[in-house]
Amino acid sequence: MKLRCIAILNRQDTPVYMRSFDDNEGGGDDVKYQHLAHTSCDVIEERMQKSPSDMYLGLLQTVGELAVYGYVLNTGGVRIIMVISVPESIVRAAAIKEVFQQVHAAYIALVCNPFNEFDDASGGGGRLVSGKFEAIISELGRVHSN
Amino acid sequence: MSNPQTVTATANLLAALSLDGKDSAGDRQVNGSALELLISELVNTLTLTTQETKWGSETAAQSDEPKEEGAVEARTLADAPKRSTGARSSPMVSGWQEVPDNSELMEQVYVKLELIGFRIGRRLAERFAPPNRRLTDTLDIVKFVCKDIWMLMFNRQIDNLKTNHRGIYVLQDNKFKWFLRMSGNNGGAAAARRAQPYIWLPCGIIRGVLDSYGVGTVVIAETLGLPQCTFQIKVVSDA
Repeated sequence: MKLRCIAILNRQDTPVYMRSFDDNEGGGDDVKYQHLAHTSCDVIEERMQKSPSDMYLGLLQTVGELAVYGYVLNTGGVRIIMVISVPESIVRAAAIKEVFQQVHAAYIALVCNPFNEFDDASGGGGRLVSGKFEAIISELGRVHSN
Repeated sequence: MSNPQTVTATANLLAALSLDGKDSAGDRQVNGSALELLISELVNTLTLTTQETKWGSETAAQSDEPKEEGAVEARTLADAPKRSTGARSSPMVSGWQEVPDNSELMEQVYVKLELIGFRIGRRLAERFAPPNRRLTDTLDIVKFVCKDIWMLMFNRQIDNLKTNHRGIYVLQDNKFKWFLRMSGNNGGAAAARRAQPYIWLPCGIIRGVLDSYGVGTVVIAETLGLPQCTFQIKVVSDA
């Protein structure tokens, strides 16, 4: 499973964090992932209503060779989107869920930092900036890049 | 190859936050009384620093003792002068000051305390939200506050929850933990008035927890007799 991008959107569907793992293509591909994130928002809303007690939302959509999975945090506001290249072998849901849980854990650790200015009550949200968070996400990208 | 340090860091993080639903055995623990001591100092410190920054100090000579700092966030103390609170008040360890009658001062302290509580509440909600369930109904979220958040902070649950099902919830705690060790010389009403600032922080916490679920609220607290206090939650916008 090759991880291509991890994005975190807040309650107003604004991306507060986007990290892509393509290192062989030039910059400017973030636009592609932002577009994917935006188009997935509607699907997220729909899935959230359909299964109100689940955090993992499953496969949201596939575009070309990219598959988009979604995950909603407990508090229901923040959403995490993961884009992977469509693999040849079947990807188990458990594996995807595990990556999402790790991102969730890293996110909680980030939010608990009292020096973190991230506060989406100010409308639109700040960007998430933290060395440890970035390191964990990089690690995930590296582990799942086969 | 992947950095072994980061891999174990991720694994530890996941285990520590028990997002997989298992109980984490390696939790670091802190003595619960530390929170009570911290809170009493917090209120005192904020009152004195607000007084200092707004109205200045009457004496010129200050000692250089560093100010006691608890978990008060850096932003709140950023405008406090970096000196001890001056000769007007006795050193902090000698206990409680009379609540100043300056209501403008207390209003500022209220804003600060409530904001601190708000930020704490948001983080508590993210960190301790039930791991496999999403809470969608406002009543469920309030129940979560009554049971889980109160259990985390005070090791007991709210005694009484009333609602009019139209956005007003009343939480009643008959033996509020932080009040158990307070008593006043002059009896009930004066002691209740002096205890007011200590429930502003839980107001903010409740508001923060509800806000992280997208429910905008106004939370008011009052106490009629010392170990008892009541929080009133009024929903102003819906998720």
